[in-house]
Amino acid sequence: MCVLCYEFASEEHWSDALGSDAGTTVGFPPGGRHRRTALIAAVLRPYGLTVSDPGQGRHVVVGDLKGSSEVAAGLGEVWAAAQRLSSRPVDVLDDLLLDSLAKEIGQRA
Amino acid sequence: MTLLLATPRPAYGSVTDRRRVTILSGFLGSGKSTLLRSHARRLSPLIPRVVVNDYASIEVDDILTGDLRRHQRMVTGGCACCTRRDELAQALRLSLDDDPSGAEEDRDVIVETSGLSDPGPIAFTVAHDPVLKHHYTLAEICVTVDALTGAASLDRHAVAMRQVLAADRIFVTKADLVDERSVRSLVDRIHAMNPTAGLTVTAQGEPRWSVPPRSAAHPGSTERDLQGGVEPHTGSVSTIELRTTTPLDWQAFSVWLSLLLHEYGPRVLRVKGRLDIQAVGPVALNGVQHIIHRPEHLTHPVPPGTRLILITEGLDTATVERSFGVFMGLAGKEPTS
Repeated sequence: MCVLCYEFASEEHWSDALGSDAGTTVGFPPGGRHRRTALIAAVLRPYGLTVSDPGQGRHVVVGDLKGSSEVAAGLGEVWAAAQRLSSRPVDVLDDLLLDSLAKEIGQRA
Repeated sequence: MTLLLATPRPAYGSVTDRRRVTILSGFLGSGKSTLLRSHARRLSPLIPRVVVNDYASIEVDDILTGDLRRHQRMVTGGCACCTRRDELAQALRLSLDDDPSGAEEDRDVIVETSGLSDPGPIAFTVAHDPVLKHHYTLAEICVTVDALTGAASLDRHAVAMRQVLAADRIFVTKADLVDERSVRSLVDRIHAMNPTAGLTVTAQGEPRWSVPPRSAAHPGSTERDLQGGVEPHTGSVSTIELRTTTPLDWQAFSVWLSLLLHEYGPRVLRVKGRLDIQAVGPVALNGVQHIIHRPEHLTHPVPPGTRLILITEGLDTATVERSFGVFMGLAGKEPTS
């Protein structure tokens, strides 16, 4: 449990931190959390889902357009929540998803 | 030459103050205990601690490894990967009490699994058990394949294949019992199945010759390409190799891989590679099935670029390539949120 916010610590996700062969933990550059949320949002958009980051703890909120939402900590929980809220499987190999992401890149280029 | 214990080369989680666990797996009768005994003889008197898991409740391996008895604990009556996982964790915890000071000769623990165990879940136990994860780190998964019956086991038993795919190092044992050509063809087959593992051919527990992992054989390649090779013996299992020279955005990569594993975890049998991450540098990544070990920043010099190998079952290579390409195209660009 976190002594500051009384939040139960959930399982650490492999993407959260890096070990080092020197025995220390290496942090990621700042701003990563914001970019990750933006990336998750881009992935969830074609499925009619949204994600927002209240900025507390490790949590983000995954919601659908009908107003249902779920709180999720870590990438594993985010995808599980998205799967429950979406009528279609959230699939990394889905052509619709890949087309949508590719289009976003095209628009920005 | 130390056969079983990881050389100083950092594997995953080579954190200096933790004890290193080497998982020794391999199908029934493939020579795990022979290898272990010859290894112990070589290191004597600094015999590493050993945890032996036997499928039968009679301790056969215990008798065979008699001279190791003082240093070992038994987990019997089931596989440590399923029914006996708690007992395995308990044995490793008790092993801490044997020597709380953690003297140098006790820094290494070898877990010899039963012939029917899948090493993946055992590795998971070591990495995620609330007590063990602070005291142990996974050094390597070593797997033995019998030169005599190995090919048939791979054909007939899915678990034999999973063992080979999970391996960091493979020992083709009993090479003295078959002709050179059969050994070669088995070695080629195994190497095609799991190119990420180094391979040593042994006879009576002694090493004869070795094949390095594929990544070590071609360290200079930097071009981005993808090779999908469907293995004739293993049906839909294929090796997908992703290479890129541009540094990757960790966030884009972790979003991509976590989503891939969420949907296709059971079909991604192995993930292993070296990533070049923006603003961080080289990172080693290693995972068995949907379990990814904590990625590790490498401080020693490595060849530039990213090289990731996925061993998958029934996934289309071109689609995985496209997906990876699209997601990595997002790197450094801000999608509108």
